[in-house]
Amino acid sequence: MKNLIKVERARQNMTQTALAQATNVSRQTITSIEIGKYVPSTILAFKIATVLKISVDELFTLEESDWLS
Amino acid sequence: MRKAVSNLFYSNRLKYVGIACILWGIISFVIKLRSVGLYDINMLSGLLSWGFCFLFFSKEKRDDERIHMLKFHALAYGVPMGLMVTHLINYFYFNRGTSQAGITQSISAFQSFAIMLGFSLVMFYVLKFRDQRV
Repeated sequence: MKNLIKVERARQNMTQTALAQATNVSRQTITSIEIGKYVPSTILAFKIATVLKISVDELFTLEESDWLS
Repeated sequence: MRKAVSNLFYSNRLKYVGIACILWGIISFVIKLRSVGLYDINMLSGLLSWGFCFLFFSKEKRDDERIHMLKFHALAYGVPMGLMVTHLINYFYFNRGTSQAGITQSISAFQSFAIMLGFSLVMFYVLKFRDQRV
């Protein structure tokens, strides 16, 4: 799953730490999500989207490989 | 009240209890071995089981969904690995060459549990460390 967290974060001038604090997770979790190593739960995805003031479907997009797994 | 009890059983402070159990097990094992030459692995494995249990199933400093996923992955590696080691010990150490049908010896449940949780714990910290390096 692709995501635009890094781009949106940069647009809002927000650090990983600030986003992590706002969503009540560790900074490492935000890093893992940004690089696509970890797919967040629905609740966390909505929290991140809300903090970044963007809709979830704009922030996260499915890739071809997601349909295979 | 119910929340206070659940907070007590799932808190970060339980890690200290776990470490104390492990140290208690190791120290009592060494004392018995030195004083009476008794190789008492039962008490050691019992206390190691409790210790590993408290360490693994207690709250991390930053306890989020990624940590829960890492713990699940660690268990998914550790439990089958521990079972395999239990079977290997049983086969090579207890039952090798015995031909009596129906009689099989095994290590104790505490020992097996300590092995499984030990593997899971090591795996959890390996996965966590690997994630931090990214």
